[in-house]
Amino acid sequence: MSGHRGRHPVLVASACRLYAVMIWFYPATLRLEYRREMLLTFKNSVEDVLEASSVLAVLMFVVRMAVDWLRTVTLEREEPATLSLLGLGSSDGAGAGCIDSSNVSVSLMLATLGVVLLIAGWYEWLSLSATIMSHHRVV
Amino acid sequence: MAKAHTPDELLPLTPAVFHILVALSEGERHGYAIMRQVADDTDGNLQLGPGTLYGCLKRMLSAKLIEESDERPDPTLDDERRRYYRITDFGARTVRAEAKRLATAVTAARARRLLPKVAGER
Repeated sequence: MSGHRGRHPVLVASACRLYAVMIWFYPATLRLEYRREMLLTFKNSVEDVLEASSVLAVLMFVVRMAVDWLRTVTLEREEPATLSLLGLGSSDGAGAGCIDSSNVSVSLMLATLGVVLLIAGWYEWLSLSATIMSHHRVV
Repeated sequence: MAKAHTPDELLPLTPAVFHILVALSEGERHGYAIMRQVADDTDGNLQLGPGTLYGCLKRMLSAKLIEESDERPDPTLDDERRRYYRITDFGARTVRAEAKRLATAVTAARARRLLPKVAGER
């Protein structure tokens, strides 16, 4: 692990706040049990990436986290963990990559809703900024 | 669903599960240390995110491949909030079985010249 933490406290704190929001889309069982651990792990990862001081490394990290988030939101199941989820054991016909389509559909709907709300919020913020700017020009 | 009684029932393991077990075979680690070790072991080809990592750990705990450890290597040097994980006997037998299975596959690939031969090998 990196020996010199905390050189970018504001960035790290902002990233962690964003990730804390993203975690709300994870299945409840995973979120309730590992929220704190996931946040700690994410925080350490962000600190290490920022230590690298490379734009490419940061971009790759953002892409990796987005993929991880989408994967977790869509593929993690709510039901109690089963061996077949490891992608193992074929005794019940659940081999590697076998996905419960109903859970995926619900997760995808929630993920889509999240993205729509995000875009709506962004649009609202832009509108508000434009209004404030025009008001300042008039004054 | 019935739990596995033998390692063979769990094979083949997913790459994430296999590498997490390999990382834990050297001793207990917390989540971030596992993540780092897996990235090192795979030359950065497998970089687990927090969601994937803890999803796997949750299922591996349920399958009794790993267990949580109450002890801390050195409480003064580490964050007490972290959970440490260690491999179980069943997990060790499973990862050995998977490594053996992979080794057999590699041997077959070498025999068909799909992979370069290891130095010293006839």
